Amino acid sequence: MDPASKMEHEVAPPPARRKGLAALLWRAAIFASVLAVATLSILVLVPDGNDYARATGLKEQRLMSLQGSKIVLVGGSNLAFGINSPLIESVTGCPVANMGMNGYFGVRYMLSQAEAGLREGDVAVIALEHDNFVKSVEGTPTDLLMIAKTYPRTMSHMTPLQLARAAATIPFVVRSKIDRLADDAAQAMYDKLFPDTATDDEDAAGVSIDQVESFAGFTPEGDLVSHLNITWPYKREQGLDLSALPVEQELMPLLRGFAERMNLRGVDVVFSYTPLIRDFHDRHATALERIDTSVRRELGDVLQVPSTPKDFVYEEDQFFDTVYHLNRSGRDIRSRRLSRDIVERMTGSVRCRGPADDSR
Amino acid sequence: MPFHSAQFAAFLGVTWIAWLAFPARFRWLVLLLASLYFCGASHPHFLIVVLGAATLAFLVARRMAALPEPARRKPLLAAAIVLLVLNLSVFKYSGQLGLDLLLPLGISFYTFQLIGYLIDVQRGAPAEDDPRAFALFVLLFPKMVSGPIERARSLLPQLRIEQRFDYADTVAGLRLIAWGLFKKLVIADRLAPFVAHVFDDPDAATGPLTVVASVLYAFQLYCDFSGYTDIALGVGRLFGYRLSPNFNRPYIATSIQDFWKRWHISLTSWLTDYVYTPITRQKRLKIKLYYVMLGGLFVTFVISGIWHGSHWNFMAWGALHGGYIVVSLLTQKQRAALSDRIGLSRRPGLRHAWRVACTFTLVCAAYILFRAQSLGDAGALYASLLHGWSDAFQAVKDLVRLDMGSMLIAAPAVAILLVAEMLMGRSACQDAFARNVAFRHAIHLACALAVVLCAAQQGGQDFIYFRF
Repeated sequence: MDPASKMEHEVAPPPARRKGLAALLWRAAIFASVLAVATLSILVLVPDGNDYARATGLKEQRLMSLQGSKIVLVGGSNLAFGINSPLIESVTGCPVANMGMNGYFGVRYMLSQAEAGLREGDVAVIALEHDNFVKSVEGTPTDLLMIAKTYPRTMSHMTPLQLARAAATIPFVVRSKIDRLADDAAQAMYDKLFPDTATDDEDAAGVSIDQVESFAGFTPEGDLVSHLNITWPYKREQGLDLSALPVEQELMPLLRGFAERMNLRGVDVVFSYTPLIRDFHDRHATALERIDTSVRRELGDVLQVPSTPKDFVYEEDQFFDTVYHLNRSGRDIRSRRLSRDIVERMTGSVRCRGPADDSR
Repeated sequence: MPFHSAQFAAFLGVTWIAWLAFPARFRWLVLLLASLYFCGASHPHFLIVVLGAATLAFLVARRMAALPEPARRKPLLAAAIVLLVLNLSVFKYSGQLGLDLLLPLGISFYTFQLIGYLIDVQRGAPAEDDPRAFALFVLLFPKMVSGPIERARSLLPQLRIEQRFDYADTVAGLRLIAWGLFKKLVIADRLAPFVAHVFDDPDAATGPLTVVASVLYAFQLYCDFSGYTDIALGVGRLFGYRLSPNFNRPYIATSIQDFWKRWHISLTSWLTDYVYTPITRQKRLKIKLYYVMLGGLFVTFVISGIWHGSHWNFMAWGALHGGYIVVSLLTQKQRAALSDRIGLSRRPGLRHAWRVACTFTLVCAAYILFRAQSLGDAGALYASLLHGWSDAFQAVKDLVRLDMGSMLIAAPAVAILLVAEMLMGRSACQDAFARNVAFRHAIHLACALAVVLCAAQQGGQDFIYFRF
């Protein structure tokens, strides 16, 4: 061995460098990043069960773009399914932005979204689902994630805590999507293997809620009309049993804060109620009365409550798929009643210039 | 704190970071504090029970070690075993005693571990002098809840040395954890509803449904328990400890004896060393050794059944396995002759497959006793095997339709499990897997993604063996 090679041999590093903690953390970070990207990719690329959430963009654009005084309807799906905005526009002479989408978004989000577009001379009509009186005002994180993903501007109406909770449900939502894909694939395989077997009940009757809850089913005012020519062939979804549940503690302070800010801004705030099927109402009459009393006692000085829950009780044949989603005839009756309530309570500051052009 | 919960992930992360942050000579303290927290977090009184048992075993072992002759140690050993078994029995059979006490975390496992340690010391093994190492021997949280039932000679020497961070060990540990979670979340939890549908309503069961549910339960139980064990072993590796393996591809066993060498190995070897062997070495028994051996085997399996729970069906399950082995030993010659006569002996591959299939069938048949809520339910399920075969196809189709998506995910996952376990035993495959970096990373990523997504469910299933 010549001296040079001997020296090289002596100073050469060990053949395999011992890997340390830094290497592990670095590789773990890369792995976690790839995992996160894969998860997010599934979230974004795999379509939702329906494109109902896209309507939030449509509604928000209308809310922000309507000129002059307007009526803004704030609430959940009871408004989407159960309002005829052109009818309200014709009675009140004010353009309507029906912001109602989904009660699970929570009252905090609904009010925050509406607040962004309310200006002096507007009328805000709040019609919350009965669930909203007893459930958290923060909404359901999975539903907030769905609209945040569909229309990212809605994130500006969410608190950091709501955003964090929504983000934490990403794996859950992705899992639901994969489960749905697997279910669909398995069903398709099953139908192919056993063509003589009846498919599931919903398909057999020819109606699926995903057909109804679609972006295409919305009018420019934000009313859902895809259900108007359909008779729901299945059992109606029942509402939450309200009798044993106390009114959500944060709700009244939240509504009061909103109403006070709107009063300062020169916006009239009207509180209305969700339509209910008679049977459900009768079973929960005491709880509903308790809610109405709370609203009048705690909010009566900052907003107007022209009606009681009883005023929005309708017969069975005026409902669609749930005990609070109206069908064509039901929504017209309710819209007339609501228009009257609004007109009676409008103050002098409301100066409407008739319905918006796009709704004529 | 189940191993597949977010709380455990947070607990493990904090513990590991603290373990790394402390100097090596104080790492035992981090692990001991973490183990105490793990054991007492839900019910602090569990700590009193485990610390009481550990103190008793520590002191008795030291006292025994001080006595020169093994024979003089026996009364001490007997007293300690009686106290430990009494302690276990009070909690385990409290329902029958009308007390209805909560079963302390891992009591069946650490009681057997302590009894094994005491017997070893009585037989001449050294008693542990270091209370720190002994406390960890009992309390070490990765194996606290459901084992493996560790032996002193294997774990105590590891606990006496200062552990340091090791890249290879850590990576291997993380892989084991991921693989365990995959088995638990992607397979066991997906199969659970199908199994429950049949076993929870035995009166509605038919033959084909019972057969399918038993086979699915075989995979559910294996993936649940071996998944837990993989996680326990993986967590142990993160801290530098090598816990004993508990499974070795049990469903390719060629006989019931072989099955028990591959299933819950730490319990089987414990029962062999501390129950079966002492019975067969009893010189006072005036019967032929062969029959002593058969009797010993039967008793050992009955004890195994009783260890699992206070219900009669567990004892019946143990007795059935004992019966399988006794009958198989008694009929060994006849079966070999039959095999020769029908030509099976000349086809070793076919013979091997036949033996694997027979063993798996017997194991599944016994699982009916293990999974049923009571002996009555098990009876109804066995009776159901006699009817419903004319509509077998429709019944199975209806079962699958309960949740076709879950079945579509679980079925390929079981296939992945079987292929992976088949390849794990072949070094050439392992080398090829190690060399193909892209393929390896893709597999790891897919498994991790499956685990993350399957973990994202509300109210997941607990590990089955946590209740033992």
